[in-house]
Amino acid sequence: MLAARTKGGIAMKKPLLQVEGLKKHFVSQKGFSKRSKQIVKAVDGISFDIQAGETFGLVGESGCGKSTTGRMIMQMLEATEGTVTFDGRRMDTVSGQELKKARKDFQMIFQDPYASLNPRMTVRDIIAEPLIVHRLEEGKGIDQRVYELLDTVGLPKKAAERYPHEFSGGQRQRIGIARALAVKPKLIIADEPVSALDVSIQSQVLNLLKDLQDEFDLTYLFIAHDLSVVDFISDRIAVMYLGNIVEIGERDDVIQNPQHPYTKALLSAVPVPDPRAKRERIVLEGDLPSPSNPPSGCPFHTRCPFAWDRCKNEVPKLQRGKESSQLASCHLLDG
Amino acid sequence: MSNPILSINQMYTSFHVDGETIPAVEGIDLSLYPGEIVGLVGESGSGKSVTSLSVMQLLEGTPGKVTGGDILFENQNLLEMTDREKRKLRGNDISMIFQEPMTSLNPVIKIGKQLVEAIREHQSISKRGAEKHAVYMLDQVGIPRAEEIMKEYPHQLSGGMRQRVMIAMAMSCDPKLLIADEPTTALDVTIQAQILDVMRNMRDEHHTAILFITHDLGVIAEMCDRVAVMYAGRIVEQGTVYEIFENPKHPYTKGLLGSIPKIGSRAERLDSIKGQVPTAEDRPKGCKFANRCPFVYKHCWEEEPPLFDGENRCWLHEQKGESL
Repeated sequence: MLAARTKGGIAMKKPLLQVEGLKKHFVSQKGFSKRSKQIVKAVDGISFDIQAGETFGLVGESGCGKSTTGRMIMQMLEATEGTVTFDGRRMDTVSGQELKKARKDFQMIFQDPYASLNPRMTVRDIIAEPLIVHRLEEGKGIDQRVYELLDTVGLPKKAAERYPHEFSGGQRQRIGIARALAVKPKLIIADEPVSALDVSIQSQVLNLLKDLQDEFDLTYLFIAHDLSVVDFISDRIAVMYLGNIVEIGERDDVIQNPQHPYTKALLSAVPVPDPRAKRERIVLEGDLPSPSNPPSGCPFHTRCPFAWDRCKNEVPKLQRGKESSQLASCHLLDG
Repeated sequence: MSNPILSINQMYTSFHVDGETIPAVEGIDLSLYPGEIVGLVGESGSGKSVTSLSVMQLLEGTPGKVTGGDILFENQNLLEMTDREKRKLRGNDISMIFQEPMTSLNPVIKIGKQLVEAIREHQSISKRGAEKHAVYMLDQVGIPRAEEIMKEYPHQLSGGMRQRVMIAMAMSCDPKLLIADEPTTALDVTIQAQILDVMRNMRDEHHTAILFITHDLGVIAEMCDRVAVMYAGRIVEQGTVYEIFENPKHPYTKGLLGSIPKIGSRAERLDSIKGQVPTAEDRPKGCKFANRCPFVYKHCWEEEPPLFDGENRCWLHEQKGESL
């Protein structure tokens, strides 16, 4: 195990990735009139750090802004506000050329292994492309590195000559991982990397991601909706709801001792593969409010079983509870 | 015990594509009793959805066909029914809900009208009466402001709401059997929890039998009384939910259970099943799981194991089978 993953030492080190006050507000037109503009607050001011060597899980239901966050960190999407600092450098202000160079250090794995690989390129060309773009290998070196990468992700050498459609979902995800690894990145942003896969294949890929982390000192930002998967792979977890982080902390604290009512509800809703499991389900009323018209005060107050007047009027800040070490944004923690 | 409401006997379903016959389901036996929730679990390509479509007789117009066996609903063979009889049965006694409610609802017709049509198709009831019943059903599945929702179009509702409308529609004729094919897979967990509650209530109050098809073992553990595990077009193991989860016998069932991360377990690694589900054309000759099984031996490659004790297809359990 890496030194950086031991919990005591983490606080001393400078984080690999710092996200500060990140916002993404999409402006959309409602109807045909140009005047009726609508602002969708997909991500509404979130901050977190990721230490080198750790896996940071970002979890939430659809529409919570977790994928938008990932794309802003990748600089695939411009942030409305806030900063992204990678390895001490501001990524949101660097020039296009510099960004291209810097991208070598952070790579992405996508959810849909069918859509993220060019169907007209052989696996060799797919994996070789980043090597050529970043001038990491030349001539025979390229082939050698491609074979090496295929071996790393558990695919045979002969896979290089074939096209993506000849592979199953799990194998395609391995190809995507090999492509991401090609440039020896420090950080990998994985956006729902296993949610399109069958369970027996999902476990293979999750184990592979863990092995690769140990082998290549990788840092992961792991974005997913499945709490069991996030629990399995993460060192720390942030729970998002309606564009905000509502709870953030060490995995065991968040999972074993959740503080925010939303985290509690989410955990209680996860189906447990044990027919004798005792279920004390907190059933949430209603649906997720629209991010274009978010509730006043606490974003969760419309569905929260404990909400009172203050929740409607005042936005709660992330704070530490009396009996917990993680941060959660809930007025109940003031008590 | 009463008679089964549905009993599938040695059913075979195959697809004819480009002059070739591709077997999807090869000889499955499954029974459902009134008020029982039976889970059909398996990975993609295992044949679980083809099974449900075969029972609903919805393969017409596709290259698929039930080629053997029989499907008895209250002792009537569905395969020998005329289209008219089948039509009467579907929606009346047997209903189905699918994974994606958006594709099952007509996007240009208001929710209310769709519900009323479905109700009047199968019951002789006045329009006013059907409307009242539709509002009642929407209320039953936990839809707030049901009367307003009646006047809305499907796209105006969220995924969870649409799935509830589908359940309301499926339940509106008080069916004896509900086939639910991945009904909550496209939904968020908090919404899934709501929908599962609705389905459980339905069973408790109306004694509906539910065939619950899913790949999610957590949902199975939570919902089902009995479970059938499908692999490569066969049921490889079946038993009560406790037998399957606490004492799985087939190596595939064991592998599947080991593959799922269990929340709060702090596991460092997951057990996994090597390789992948073979396509219908590449299924091994003997046991279909032979190429992925950690316990495989010579016999497995040569001959396909029968269903021992009526509960599992694995040569490792042969002895027990003979002694009985």
